[in-house]
Amino acid sequence: MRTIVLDSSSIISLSTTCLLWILKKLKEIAHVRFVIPRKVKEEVVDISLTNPNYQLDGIRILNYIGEGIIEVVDDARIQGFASRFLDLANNLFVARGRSLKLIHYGEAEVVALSKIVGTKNLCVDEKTMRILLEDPIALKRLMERKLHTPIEIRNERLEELKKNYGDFLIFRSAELLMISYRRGVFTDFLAGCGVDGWIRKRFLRGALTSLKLNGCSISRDEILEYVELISKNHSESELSS
Amino acid sequence: MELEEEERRDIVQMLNEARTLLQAGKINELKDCSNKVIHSMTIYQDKYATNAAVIVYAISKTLERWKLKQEERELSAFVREMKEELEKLSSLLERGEFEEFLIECGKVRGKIAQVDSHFSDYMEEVLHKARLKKASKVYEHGLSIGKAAELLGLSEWELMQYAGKTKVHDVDESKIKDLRKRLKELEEIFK
Repeated sequence: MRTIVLDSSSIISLSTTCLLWILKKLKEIAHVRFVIPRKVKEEVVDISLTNPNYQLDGIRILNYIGEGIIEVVDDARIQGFASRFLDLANNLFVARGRSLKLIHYGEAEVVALSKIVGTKNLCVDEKTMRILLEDPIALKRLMERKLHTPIEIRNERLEELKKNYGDFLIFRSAELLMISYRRGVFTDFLAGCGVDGWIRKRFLRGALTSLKLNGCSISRDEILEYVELISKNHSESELSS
Repeated sequence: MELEEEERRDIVQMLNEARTLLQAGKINELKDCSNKVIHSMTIYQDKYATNAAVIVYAISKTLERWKLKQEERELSAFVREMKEELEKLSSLLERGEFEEFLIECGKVRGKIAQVDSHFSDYMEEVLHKARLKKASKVYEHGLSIGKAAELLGLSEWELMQYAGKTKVHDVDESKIKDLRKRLKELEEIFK
């Protein structure tokens, strides 16, 4: 059974767009396992329950945990792995003589958990972690452009990052949505709208835009590209060639 | 906690500029002025720049909400009081009285909150809005959502919802992989 580690941001955007249920469907269809570390559970359940704006979301997520759709993994080794990754990420870049503290501990636990359960599959909606793991030089460029200041990379840490964390498969809730669509998860949902392509295109664009507006780091251009990709009816075999 | 000289200079400059803009009644420019310490907030991640930026933005937002509603006299009194406070904050930093600066920031926030609660029709208080705005800016500058939320005392929930509605994700550096490749890789997991 393949395992996917979810971070807080991906659960939050799926929940606030009422799309969390696709996890249940994907689990049924593809026999995947969705796991989270304790710190993510704290953010998406415990903290949400303290704010009336997000209490319903928190209860929804708690329900999914109770049903085993999302598993909370507690392992004594997580802290050690997380601290190592946190130290690496937060001392990778230097600006004005200072290490840039890029991420916080909860986000490091996601990477730690992936090492412990032995998976490379991470679902991360916020942009910094994703860019850090996929292309740290791109993150350096972005920060230099925004901060109007040169950023130095500690090369030994960059090498360590690439060596130990460079082969993750990172995707977003947007990609989960696309896969769900291709696997027929929305067939019943769209049945009432008929099979008209116009409606389907609107559905995809609307759902992806909704995820974006709720924090998923997908750009407008990427949304349009995804919609066009599907509307040209690419087959699975064409995508895998 | 010590303050880097460059950061101190940035904050003092911003506070002095804010005073001038407040005097001139330039609310929009005052709002933008608070962004001048975003770089310091991102790099140094301490309470000094964060407090200063939130206060200046909150002042501008309070005035924006009030402007059409209040008597000139009440508005003038608030502006006068805030000018004095900004001057006090700037002086405290210049003299190196960092703890006193933070204490004074607390007092200013209290004054803004009091005024906001009496006169605002909005459910979202200006101080909270100010923290969201600055956290979103810091996220835009490269810190993670979790880090930005932690810096400004927010939850990821509220910051995700706020930041998602900005252009923060419409940047070239964010698109690393070809979308077809992303989907193809994911197809392997869900086979």
